[in-house]
Amino acid sequence: MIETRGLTKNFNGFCAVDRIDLTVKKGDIFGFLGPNGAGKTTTIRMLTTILSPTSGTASVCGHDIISESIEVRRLIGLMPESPGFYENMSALSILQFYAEFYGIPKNERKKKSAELLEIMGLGDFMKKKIKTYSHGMRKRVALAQALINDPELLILDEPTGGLDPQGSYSFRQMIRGLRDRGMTVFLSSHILPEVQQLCNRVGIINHGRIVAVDTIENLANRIVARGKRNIFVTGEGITAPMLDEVARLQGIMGIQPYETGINFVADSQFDLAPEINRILVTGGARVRSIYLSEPTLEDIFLSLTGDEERG
Amino acid sequence: MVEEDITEEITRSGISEPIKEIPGQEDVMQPKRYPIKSYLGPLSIAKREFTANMKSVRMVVLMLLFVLAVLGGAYGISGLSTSTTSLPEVEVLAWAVLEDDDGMGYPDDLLVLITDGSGTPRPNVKVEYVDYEEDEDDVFFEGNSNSNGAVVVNNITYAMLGTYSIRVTYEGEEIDRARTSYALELSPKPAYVLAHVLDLDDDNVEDDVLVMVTDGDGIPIADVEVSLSASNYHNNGTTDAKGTVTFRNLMAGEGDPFMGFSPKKYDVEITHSGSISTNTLYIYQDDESMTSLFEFEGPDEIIYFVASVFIMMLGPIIAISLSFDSITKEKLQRSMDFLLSRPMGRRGIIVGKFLGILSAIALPVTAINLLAVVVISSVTNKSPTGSLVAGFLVYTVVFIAIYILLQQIFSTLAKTTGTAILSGIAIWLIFNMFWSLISIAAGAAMGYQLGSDAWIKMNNQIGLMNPSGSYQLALAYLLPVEGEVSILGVPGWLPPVVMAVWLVVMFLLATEIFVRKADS
Repeated sequence: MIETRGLTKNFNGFCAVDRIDLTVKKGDIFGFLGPNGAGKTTTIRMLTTILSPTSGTASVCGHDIISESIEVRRLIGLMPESPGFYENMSALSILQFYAEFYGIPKNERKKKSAELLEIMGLGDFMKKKIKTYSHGMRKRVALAQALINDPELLILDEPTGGLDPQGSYSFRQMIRGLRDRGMTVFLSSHILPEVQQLCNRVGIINHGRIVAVDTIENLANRIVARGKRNIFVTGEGITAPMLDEVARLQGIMGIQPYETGINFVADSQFDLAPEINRILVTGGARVRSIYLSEPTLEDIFLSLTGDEERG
Repeated sequence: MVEEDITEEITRSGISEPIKEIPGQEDVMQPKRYPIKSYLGPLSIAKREFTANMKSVRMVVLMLLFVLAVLGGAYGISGLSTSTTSLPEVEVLAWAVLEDDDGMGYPDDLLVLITDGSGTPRPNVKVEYVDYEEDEDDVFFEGNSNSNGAVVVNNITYAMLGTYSIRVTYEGEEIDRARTSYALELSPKPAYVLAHVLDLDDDNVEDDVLVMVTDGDGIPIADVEVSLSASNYHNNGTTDAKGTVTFRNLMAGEGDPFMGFSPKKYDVEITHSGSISTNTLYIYQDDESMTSLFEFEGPDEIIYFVASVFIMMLGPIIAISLSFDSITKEKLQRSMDFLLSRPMGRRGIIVGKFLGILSAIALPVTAINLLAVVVISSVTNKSPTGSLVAGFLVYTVVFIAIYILLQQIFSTLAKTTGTAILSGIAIWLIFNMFWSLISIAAGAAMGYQLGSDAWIKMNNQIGLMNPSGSYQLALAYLLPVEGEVSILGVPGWLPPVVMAVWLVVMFLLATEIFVRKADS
């Protein structure tokens, strides 16, 4: 579905995307991960033929992105990172407007646009002007417009960016539904759990270069082989001095605080869980659970992109 | 916590239902694909651009301004011109002689001759002899002019006192009494001389004289020498077959154009078969035409004036105001990617936008221009030249199209809408205001005198190089009379060609710059 060879884009001497080789197969939900400024959006803009590459080639849906760009655009659906709409138009008329480009007959344009907005939960709002829409509603319109031409490949640039948990959940459900319909999805994101839940394959990009392309399991195995594991602790009363003490333990590679608990990244040679438990309990914390997990995508991501940025 | 999120989402977005799950495999529809024609994209963009512009507040404001300037200008100037220009055509003139044919000691024998403005007899016009001061209805005589245009009555019965006059009724309406020229002769003569002051050369001033020589039966006499003289004037002429001779552009008396001239007395005299006949007339200068600052010959000049003043100023403003953000806004509101990812060529986007904006402007502008032409011709009561009207309508659209493309280039290059509109206004200022400074400076450098033929020639050639100048010159060439517009140094075919070149070059530049810019 997507095949790139040495795809490169320079902007005034700055290399935004550097000789990328990527393959996305039909039916994949491909997660495209990378820190901010890594070249995700530039890559997407090349794949969607909005930008032409400085060098290298790519074929999307079996068509060359340069010589057959119109054919490519005909078969893809794009949801850009920050979509903007004509504020004085209603969602329904915007969708009908975009449908015109694909030669869809008039009656069908209206029917299809209304159907898609209905599915997006915008049925009651489709005739209201976009300027009255919330951020979440706009995202839904953006997804609906990407589906207006029944694309073979759906390209989503940060689809859940700026959405609250319920909104994100709805989007993930939607994307799963599309996968079940046989649509290939190329999804860029820096929300790692999302990619982990949705995607069967991931590509990681950093400084314009692909650092890894594989299934999540294969990537995880690579990490385990490098000797990392996560110890996830939930509880109350965990204080900074306790974490400092844990950090001084031999084999602790990182501490990641979350809302729900704290993740300790540890060298798998050491059995650090009891030691961490001891420090926390003696410090006065109430430890509720200690969970030893396999490496998450976040670990993979951080180990491959370096810790400099968490995206 | 999840519950809270849902509630929050609902309140924030106003959506009562979450995204529905896509139906499963059993509901999968086969994607339908339709053939994509290259005009589809540009056409959709043009339609959207047209609708959006038509509904915009900007459009309403701009068109109100345009109506005010163009229709108001057209109406005002036409009104101005009727007060000074179109003197009504003279259809009926009466020439009257009272003489004492029967030697009774009273000039009670009447000869009335009815002609049109050129001295040709008019038969069948009703002539009455009435006492205007006592009772207009007291008609002493009534008759119709014969095939020679003459009415002859002997021994009109006089009342004891009163002022008697001739009343001439033509097509049911009484003609102006000033249109009757009298001669009072106490004894019959073989020939009578009569004179009317008219505007014979259509210069809007009644300073020409039509003299007629006729015998006592109203039969014109040809080959009579007529002398016209005043204090410092003398001229002779010979009557033609109609018995008429004309003298043109006679001077009025002393005075100045703003205060009015005093009337000047002229004496007409003939000698025929040994007898002398005389008459007197006065020339008044029509002071209204002199005090008017703007003089317009007719509807063509008014159309030209409206175009070269109001449209030349407002046309680019309308074009700039409706297209300055056509590209920047798409970029800034981030809707451009939606367009760029549609199955159409890059050029299609700018072409569609151009056509959409152009049609949104051209439609109302052409309607208003047409209305202006109607107003001008109905107020001046003259029809303008067809080719000028066609040129006015077409060139105006081309002129506006050039500015739309120019502004689209700025809109593509500029990072903000502010820069885009400022660049447009700068270009407008340069082309419409500062351009003449270039001519003046160049003229000074070349040593030409301002207003001299050499300078006008150069000024026209420099003016031709900007769209506004070529628009003005193209219209000037369609004026049937050269009038006051000097078109030295520029052949007639050139201005429309220059406009076409501007249009094509701007179109190619706008599309090319857009295609290149979209890639960076």
